[in-house]
Amino acid sequence: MDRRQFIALASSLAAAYNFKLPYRAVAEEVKLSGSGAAGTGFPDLVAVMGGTPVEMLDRALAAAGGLERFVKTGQKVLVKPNIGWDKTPEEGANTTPALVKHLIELCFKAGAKEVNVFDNTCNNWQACYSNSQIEKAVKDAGGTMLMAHEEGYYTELALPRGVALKKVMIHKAWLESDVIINLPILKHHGGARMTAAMKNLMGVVWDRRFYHRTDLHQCIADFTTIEKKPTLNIIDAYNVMMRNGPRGTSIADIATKKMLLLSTDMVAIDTAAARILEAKPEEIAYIAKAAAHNSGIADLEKLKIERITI
Amino acid sequence: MRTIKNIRLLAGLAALTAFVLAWLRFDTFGKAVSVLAPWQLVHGVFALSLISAAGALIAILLTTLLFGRVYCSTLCPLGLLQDLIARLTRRFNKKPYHTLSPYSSLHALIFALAVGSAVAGFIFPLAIIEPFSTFGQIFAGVFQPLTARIFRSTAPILSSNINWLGQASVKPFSLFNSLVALFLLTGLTIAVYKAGRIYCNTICPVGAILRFIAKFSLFRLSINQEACTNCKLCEKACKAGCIDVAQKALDFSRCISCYNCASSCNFSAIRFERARTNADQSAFSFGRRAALAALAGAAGGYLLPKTLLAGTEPTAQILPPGAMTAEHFYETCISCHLCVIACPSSVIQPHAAPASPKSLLKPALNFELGMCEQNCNLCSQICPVNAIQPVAAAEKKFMKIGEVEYKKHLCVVETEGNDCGACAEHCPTQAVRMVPYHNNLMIPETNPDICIGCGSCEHICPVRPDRAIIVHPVVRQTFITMPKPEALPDSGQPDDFPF
Repeated sequence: MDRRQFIALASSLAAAYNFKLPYRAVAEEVKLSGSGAAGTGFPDLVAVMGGTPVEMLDRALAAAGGLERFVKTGQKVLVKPNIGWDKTPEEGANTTPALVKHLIELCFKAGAKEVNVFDNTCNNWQACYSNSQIEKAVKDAGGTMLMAHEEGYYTELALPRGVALKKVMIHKAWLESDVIINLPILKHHGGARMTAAMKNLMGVVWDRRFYHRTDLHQCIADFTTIEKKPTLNIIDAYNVMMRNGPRGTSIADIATKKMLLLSTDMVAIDTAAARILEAKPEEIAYIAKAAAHNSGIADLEKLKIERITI
Repeated sequence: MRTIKNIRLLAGLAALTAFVLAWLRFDTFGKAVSVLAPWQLVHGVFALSLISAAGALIAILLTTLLFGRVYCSTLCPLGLLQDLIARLTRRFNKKPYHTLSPYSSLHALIFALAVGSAVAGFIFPLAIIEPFSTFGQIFAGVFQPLTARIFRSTAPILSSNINWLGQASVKPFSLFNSLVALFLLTGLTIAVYKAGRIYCNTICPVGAILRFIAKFSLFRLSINQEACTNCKLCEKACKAGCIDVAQKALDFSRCISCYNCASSCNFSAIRFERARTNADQSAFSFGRRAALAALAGAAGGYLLPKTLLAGTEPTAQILPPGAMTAEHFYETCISCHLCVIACPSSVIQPHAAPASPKSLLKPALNFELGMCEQNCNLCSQICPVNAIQPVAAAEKKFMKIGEVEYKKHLCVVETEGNDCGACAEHCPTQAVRMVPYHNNLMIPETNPDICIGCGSCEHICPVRPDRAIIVHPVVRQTFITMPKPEALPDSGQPDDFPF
């Protein structure tokens, strides 16, 4: 075997194994309301009500100026749904798979080179991926599921502005993506009171116990000081778990709210989500703490909200 | 004869490959065990109440009665492992196999001791010599931990896409268990190196049963007196050491049906024939001494544990769902560790520090690496001896295998004054739930009546070194009844946005 043959063999083996070299991501922060040359006139927060999750996503994105504002040709996209539990879609513990599928299809339409999806699950990861039906949705849409169940998939990152959380083991895919779309499902949460946009980002971190042991609300808020923030946050509030969350004990815990929120502001979108959950945003400590970090605006009065009813 | 040998070789190779792959990567090849394990003699005996198991047992015994111990060279994982060891060590081992004495009395004594002890409720001696469990212990204790760790460490370097290497799951490590497994593997290797399949005709309890039946086999290998030239090639090829050319005798009761003798013979002097008389076997048959040894062994095996182990009840452990009671589990489990390597959440661990001889090598639940997943009933489905009794998936969801204890004085809500809620978050039944506490805090509250003991709370509790919430074993596994959920006050779709 000569050198050429060896290189050909080695690279084909690597290709067969989906081997990937580290990727240097180019992240660009886009403000939903728009700024500079892109012009303004877009809202800070889009809220849609009354349609199927897929319809509502289309309407929300149309109001936000289209996904093309956020996803550019040739970019690597990370979609982070909530896949935390070994539950079926009807049980409302994980993001609606149809929504995940539709969003990935739209990403590819906007020119994305690849779309990756993962979650550091609470239950056995394979059971979560498959029973949530998100794995199938991702595959059907042409996206890629990543593994996140071993520490080896994570890398350490400093959070200089963090108060309790000063460094974090974060999934490598976060750093190697150009665009990150945070796609949680809205649920009641026994510990954090509510899980929506900010709480969903605990699923890209390796050591959750550190959050719980140290100061849950402060750590959730500290994570939002990360330099590379989610490009876009979309909250699935079609079926909302109103109690016994985040896992739920039966479908009696679910209320059909038929809503969807979209914003680039994690704090604003969580404040609105708390209202849908019939909770008081001021009692969810991490919202105020994140606002104090200047990660977003908690006062909905100050925001331009576009409300769409289907 | 060559064709028969080749068929034996292929069948054995297929079975060994299936066993090894299943033990190394149960997630991918586990189905092989569900095909092969029902054909293990130990399954037939322990699960006799099942028609399929009784059928398999009868089939094994009938085959032996017709053609001898075909089982030992095609279905027994430990027999096949010995053949593999023999093949691997042959390049260093120039010494040919040699005739072995029958050791009938010793074999009968060991068999009777182990079975007598198992009947008396102390199954450890049987578990350590039974071939299926010995194979399982070796692979679960030595090879699975090794390969899984290699897979785990290489996968993240190569790719984070879902791939086969990365799907390998690392099981909780038990040093004691791995040392026992290493000891068994070393012992077996030395025995094979020195004297071939001597284990099968001295120690193996399955061998003892089949040996007794093969004595009366209808068709058997024998040496044709006229054709034999006394060249001893067959004697040197016989792994079981059951050929004595000087006497022109082949003890078919000890023959493990590898047919190497027949294929080694240049004069076709070893033939598979209808047995003519039993007279020529008299030199090797179980004599009066063996019968006496069996009687003495059975009595000793039954009485010794009864007297020596009286009052040494094992400390209570959380047992796999389906074990029902510690008594049933410890008296039935043969320590094959199939549940250990199969558990997808890696919570079944062989006892790290055996507290009592009765719980030696037996698995118990350890929530360090995960929780007993509510939707999983795999261990109860695969246990070959029904030490973990089958529980339907829908019933398993509410099977109570332990009970929660909350230690408020250790909890971060109490000690740090911070919200946490990790335990309640993970609890599948809300036996742990968060209730209002002072200063806008929420604190866990437990309801043991609906606790299933899955260990989710203990697994996720962030407090160290002692966790603030732990699960205790229960005396008898039962089922909880979930209260009927109340409807939400208003689950209708709102007319307008609440902001």
